[in-house]
Amino acid sequence: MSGNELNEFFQKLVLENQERVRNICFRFLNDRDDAEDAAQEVFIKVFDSLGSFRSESEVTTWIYRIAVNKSLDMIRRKKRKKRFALLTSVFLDPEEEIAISIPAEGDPGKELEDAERKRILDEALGKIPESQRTALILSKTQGFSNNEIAEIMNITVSAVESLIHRSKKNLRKLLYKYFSY
Amino acid sequence: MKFSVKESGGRMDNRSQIENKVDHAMKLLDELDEMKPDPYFLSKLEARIKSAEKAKFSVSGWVKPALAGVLLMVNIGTALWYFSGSGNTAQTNTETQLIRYLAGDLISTENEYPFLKKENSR
Repeated sequence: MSGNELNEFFQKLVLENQERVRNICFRFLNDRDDAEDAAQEVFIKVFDSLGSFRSESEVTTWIYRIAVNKSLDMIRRKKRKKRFALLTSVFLDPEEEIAISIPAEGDPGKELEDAERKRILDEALGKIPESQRTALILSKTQGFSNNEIAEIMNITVSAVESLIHRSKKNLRKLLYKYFSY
Repeated sequence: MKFSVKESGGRMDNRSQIENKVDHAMKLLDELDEMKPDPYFLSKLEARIKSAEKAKFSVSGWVKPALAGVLLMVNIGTALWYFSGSGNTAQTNTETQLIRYLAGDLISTENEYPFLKKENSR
């Protein structure tokens, strides 16, 4: 492929897959800005490696695999930062860390309840094993089939089914534990 | 007896309440928001790729020759030091001479360390 053809092919890839990639990142990261950033990093990686890509798997599968890996990397980075911030906060003036949350418009009670439920769910999702979380998130994102998830995760379809089943079971267990306190 | 029946009923209520909450939270998995398509995504991405490439070239443009220059200087310096340092080398004809020469660094004389003299005189 010449440079121009490669550029055109890349643009086509971005236009066709940006929505799914951004949503994969968003489901993992739960933050629009972080998801936007991660999605851009995904396509930069695609741009850099497109010349060396060997078509053993489909290009789209490869892109979604990069999206999953980038999101998981970003979560790990955030966790490390959080731990470091916790450490430094011991030495900081507590007044510096006060964050003011602005109430959303609409029914504040309902929105607060939904936000709290979502926070609990996210927390529980963060506690289940990475492979289970990946399979569950992909199954709930933009209609990925178990076949597609298997290709992205490089495992068999039955392994995907098992991961999704276990993830739901573990998630229920964690939520039950949380609500029973 | 009445008390125990009432308590088990309470437990059942509590359990079903928790189950409801769990079901409610699990349903959220299907109701999560999605990001809308961004018409400017490609242009933002292209701008980022261009600026990353610019930065890469500007850094590699002066870092590589500078690094090569430093390495060359170090090499020349090492060679000069090695070939001009003949005063620090010694030639010996026999093994005994060599051992004596090397042992000279390890064995100290009383002239070098006056406190040894004191210790001995006691």
